[in-house]
Amino acid sequence: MLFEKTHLEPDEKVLKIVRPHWFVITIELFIVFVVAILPLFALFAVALLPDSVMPTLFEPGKQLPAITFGLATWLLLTLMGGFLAWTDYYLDLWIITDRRIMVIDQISFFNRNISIFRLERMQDIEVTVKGFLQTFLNFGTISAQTASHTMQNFSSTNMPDPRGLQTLIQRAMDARMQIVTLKAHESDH
Amino acid sequence: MPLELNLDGIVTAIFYIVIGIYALFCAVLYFHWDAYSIDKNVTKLTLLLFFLGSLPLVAIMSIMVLII
Repeated sequence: MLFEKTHLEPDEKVLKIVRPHWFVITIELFIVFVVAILPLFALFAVALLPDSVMPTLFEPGKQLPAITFGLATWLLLTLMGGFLAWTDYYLDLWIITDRRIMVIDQISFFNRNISIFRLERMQDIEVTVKGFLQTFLNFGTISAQTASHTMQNFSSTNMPDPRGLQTLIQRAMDARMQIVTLKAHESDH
Repeated sequence: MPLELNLDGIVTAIFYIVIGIYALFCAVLYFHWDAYSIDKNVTKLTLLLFFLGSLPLVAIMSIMVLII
């Protein structure tokens, strides 16, 4: 499991775990479902052909096992496609702790990008909610810039409640900055 | 000798290719959920649903290959 591999620092608290909005996976699974039932439409279309054409094209007794095999193969492949989409969705996440943000981008199988950003190094957090669907369902793009020597930017699309996330990160950043400043003063004296 | 293609041979070839892809997919899916998931219950449920959905289809494919 991921938490067993991600070593949290002593007393580090996980504030929130965020995945892309449910609308993303709903649309993907709906497309998979439509693709899965496509052969049924094809069979229905063949069944509508006139009887004079039917016997030459289709002999149920002979071809039924082959058609059943084709349907089962098609369904198995689309089922794998559905689970691939679900895996990409579920394993794609942000882990926000009181010290850092871990952005895990599950692009596909064997294509995974993990970035860790410390809260005290973060600067601007920008939220973009664009279009009717994003406004109505409350999801959008959240991007941030860090003040490291490489000035890294990171951005994630389709994040749920982006303004709520922005507030949460901003509060965590402020709290972290206070702790870091206090520790710096203590070490000076 | 000319290569003869009949329905039986084509279906058997497709069956072996799909079963190979399926076996590979099962291994990769299991590895990803075992290594990267943060919720054991969701992992169990996902793998259970996948095998409950896919194994009957594999069984149907195997039976049809035997019939054809």
